[in-house]
Amino acid sequence: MWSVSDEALLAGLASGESDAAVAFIRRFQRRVYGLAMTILNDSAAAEDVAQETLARAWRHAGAYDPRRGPVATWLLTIARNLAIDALRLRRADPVDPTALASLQRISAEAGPEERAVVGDDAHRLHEALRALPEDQRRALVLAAFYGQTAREIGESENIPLGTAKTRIRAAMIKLRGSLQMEDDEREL
Amino acid sequence: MNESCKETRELLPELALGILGGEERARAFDHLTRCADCSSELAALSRAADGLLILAPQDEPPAGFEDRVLARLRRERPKHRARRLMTFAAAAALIAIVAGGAVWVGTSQDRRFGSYYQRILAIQHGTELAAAQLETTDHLAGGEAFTYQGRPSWLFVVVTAPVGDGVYDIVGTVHGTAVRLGAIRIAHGRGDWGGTTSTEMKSVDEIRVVARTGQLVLHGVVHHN
Repeated sequence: MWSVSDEALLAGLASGESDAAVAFIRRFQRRVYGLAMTILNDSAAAEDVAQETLARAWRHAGAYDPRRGPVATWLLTIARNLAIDALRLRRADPVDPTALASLQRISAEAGPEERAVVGDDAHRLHEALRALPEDQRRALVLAAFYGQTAREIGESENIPLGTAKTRIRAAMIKLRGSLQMEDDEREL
Repeated sequence: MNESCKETRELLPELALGILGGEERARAFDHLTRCADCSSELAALSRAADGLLILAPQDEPPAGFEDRVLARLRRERPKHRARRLMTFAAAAALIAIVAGGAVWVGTSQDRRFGSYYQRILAIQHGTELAAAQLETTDHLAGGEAFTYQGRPSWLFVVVTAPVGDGVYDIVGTVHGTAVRLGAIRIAHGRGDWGGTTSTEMKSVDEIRVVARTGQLVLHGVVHHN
């Protein structure tokens, strides 16, 4: 069962096969729950988000379009959005001190073994993220994982709005460039 | 690259990260509907932004997680199916009314139709049922959108247009600001979507169907009463 591709597993989920639902949950639960925990740092809230993410994937499996990216990315985008909604509901103070701790885990733990599972994008992005100056990496992680706007990043980092925007933009351009290098190499 | 492209490029990283708000977001979308180069740049940035999520550390969920998810899927199955049926039933009723109205308008039955329309609206505390003809950027007919202002307000969109397979955002324009109302799956040039919304449907001036790259594929002005 584990040799089935993510796409085939999702198609099985869409057609209502119960074996596919079990296999799908087993394959993605650690990743979905891990992302929710990274953002929320609360196991009950993270479980709620992970459950809802998998339920939505089950409900909307037929809407997945492989040309828009891997199944894991689609699933994690759902989880991220749900977690950010939960975060905004519960958080009065937009500055979350756990963000910084999680940030270190993001840049430390993802390694070459990811390459086999999620393809070259993750490896390239990981390298590009590690190569960023600390201030740009922080701004990017606060935006990409915690949904903080440039204004919120400016406030939490105590920098002008323009500086926050510049950091986000510089970081994103480098990450985008790292994927483009990969595409160029593939074409050679 | 013109001035409008330069201005939009500044906004694209934040748009790709999903953190751009209100007016700037609407301004960017407005440009993206006309610019393929900026749309493909947004797609590349989005791939980077979404790809980052894979880098989050994995973690073992609490014991019993798998069973709880499976139990939830079993519980939701009948509800999910019922909701879809309701959406289609409501849409079918609505289309019958609109089609009927088109025939009745201008006849001696106008008054009777008016009272019938009022009674239908009253079922969901409604004040208005409106429609938009959707067209492609090349001005070809591409479907319809029906809006209902009531409690709850809702929207139903039907697409029949030669656009690529995929999931598209349904966006309403409220006083110049873009508001995401739902998502529609289009396959082989056809798709439909319906759902309730907290957005005031009587304030929606225009309905747009937008690709995830930000590119506009269909739009139509909502004709209010």
